Amino acid sequence: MYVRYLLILLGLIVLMHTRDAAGASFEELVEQSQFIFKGTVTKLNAVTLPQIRATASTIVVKVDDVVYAPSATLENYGGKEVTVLLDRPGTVRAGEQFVFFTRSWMLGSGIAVREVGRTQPESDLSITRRRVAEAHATVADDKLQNRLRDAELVIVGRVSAVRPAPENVHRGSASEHDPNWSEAVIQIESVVKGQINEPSLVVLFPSSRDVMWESAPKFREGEEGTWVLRREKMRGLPPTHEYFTALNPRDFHSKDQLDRVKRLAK
Amino acid sequence: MTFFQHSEPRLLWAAGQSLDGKKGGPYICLLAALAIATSSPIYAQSTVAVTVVNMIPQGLSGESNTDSEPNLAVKPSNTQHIAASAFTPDPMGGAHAPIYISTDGGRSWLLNSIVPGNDRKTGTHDITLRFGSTTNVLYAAIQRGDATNLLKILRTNDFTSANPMTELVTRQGVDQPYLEAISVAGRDRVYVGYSDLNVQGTATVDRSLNAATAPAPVPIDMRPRGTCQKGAPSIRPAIHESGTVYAAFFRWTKCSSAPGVYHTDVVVVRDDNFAAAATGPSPRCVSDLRRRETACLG
Repeated sequence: MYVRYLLILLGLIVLMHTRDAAGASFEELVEQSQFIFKGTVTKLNAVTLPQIRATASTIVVKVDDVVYAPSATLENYGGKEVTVLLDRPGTVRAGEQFVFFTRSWMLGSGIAVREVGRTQPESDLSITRRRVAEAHATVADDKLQNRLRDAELVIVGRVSAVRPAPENVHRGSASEHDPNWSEAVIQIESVVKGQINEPSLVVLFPSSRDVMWESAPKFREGEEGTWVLRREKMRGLPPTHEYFTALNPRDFHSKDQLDRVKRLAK
Repeated sequence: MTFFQHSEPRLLWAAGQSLDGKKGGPYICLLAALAIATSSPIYAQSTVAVTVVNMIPQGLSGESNTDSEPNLAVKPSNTQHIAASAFTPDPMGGAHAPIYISTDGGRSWLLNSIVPGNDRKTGTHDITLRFGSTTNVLYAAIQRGDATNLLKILRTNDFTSANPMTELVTRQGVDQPYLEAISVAGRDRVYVGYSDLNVQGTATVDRSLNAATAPAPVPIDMRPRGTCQKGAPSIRPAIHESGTVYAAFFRWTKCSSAPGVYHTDVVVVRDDNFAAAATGPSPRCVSDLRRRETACLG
């Protein structure tokens, strides 16, 4: 009987450490968050930005320690107060301390964030930071793995030439979003996934810096790395043209990422 | 309109320099030039009294995003409320792109991340904002930042809210969406002009006669599209509360082998009853401004 109670107690302790009150796992909290910090609740029904109306869902929290921040501005937010829009109003009291997992809401003279979840702070915050870093790595690997799974070809190589695409391809859609297609000739060193018998292949990429193509990888002569390639139907391309493309930011990796790509491509 | 008559020197300064006097690069801060309403005349000899407000929040000072193609919407029922947009990404890299909001007539600004589909470098792609003139509802027509040519027509009842904007319409293959809205008898009439890439760039307008509550605008094909196998982008609607709705666009009429050279007609189409019956490709009047010709149906 005592063993059973002990097991239940141990299970509850494990759950308390891996899930917040809303049931999200630590990894899920990290994936949904952009700003993670240990903070102390200083005011209830209050805000730090005059443009926001205080409600039962808004509290002011003093940032005691930053666990993860997306920018240098927020990395240095220790000691400052932020507005937190609670996921579950009425579940905190002034003076309580938590690790808040939050995402963006408002930025002005100060910041306001939306709570994704919260956990009790661990005695050693470096443990939390390490767990967050591990969760970020896992999430990034999952996303890359999805790209690799859908890819037709994954190659390691070097760009031997970059040139404008043929005129009928190059002109694109005749708007400010014209991709301004270019071709990169890749000399293949090895193949991670798929089959190709040629020593080189051509990858079509947008050289435009327009907002539509800003995030797509651009290539230059002499560049080395790993390409995650697929044939996508591109609007405006003649049906006879079948180009490999690498349009997602996760479709090109520097050579030092090769072991990781190989591991995830298995 | 005379307000800007002598304002050029000041406004040029605003665009070319940062507030501390340093030369601006290609990525300048968004600036709002505001006339401060006073009982005295606006003019002071050859200069204009304007207040230049840096819309970029202080916490982002020094940012270098591509904050281009700005758009501005003032709430007609409360001109202290202003919403603005640009190709500004969410400062935290989240899933929602921000709009700029002001509740004090443009004197101070916040970023409110409520637009679905943030791209980490550009926020959204094309985006326009408009308020219903009496309903306080803010509408947006966007190309999502995390997709290519994906139209979303959005609305929010409270543009200061943390809740993401509600998605009303989704269409793939759309370029340059541009939204206008007006309230008539308590109902928001919303018109979104765009180039429909699925049918060779046909000039199209989505319209809703009750956008604050009705589920989705419907598309109206604004032919003729021209003879170059594809239409030109940029379709701009305009609405009058009497029911007259215009849409202006240009169509390519002569194909050219030279890159970047197009022969075009500038076309204005008109409907006199909010395009309420225009469920197909039949706007009532078509005007060709270049040829100064107008043809009306019926």
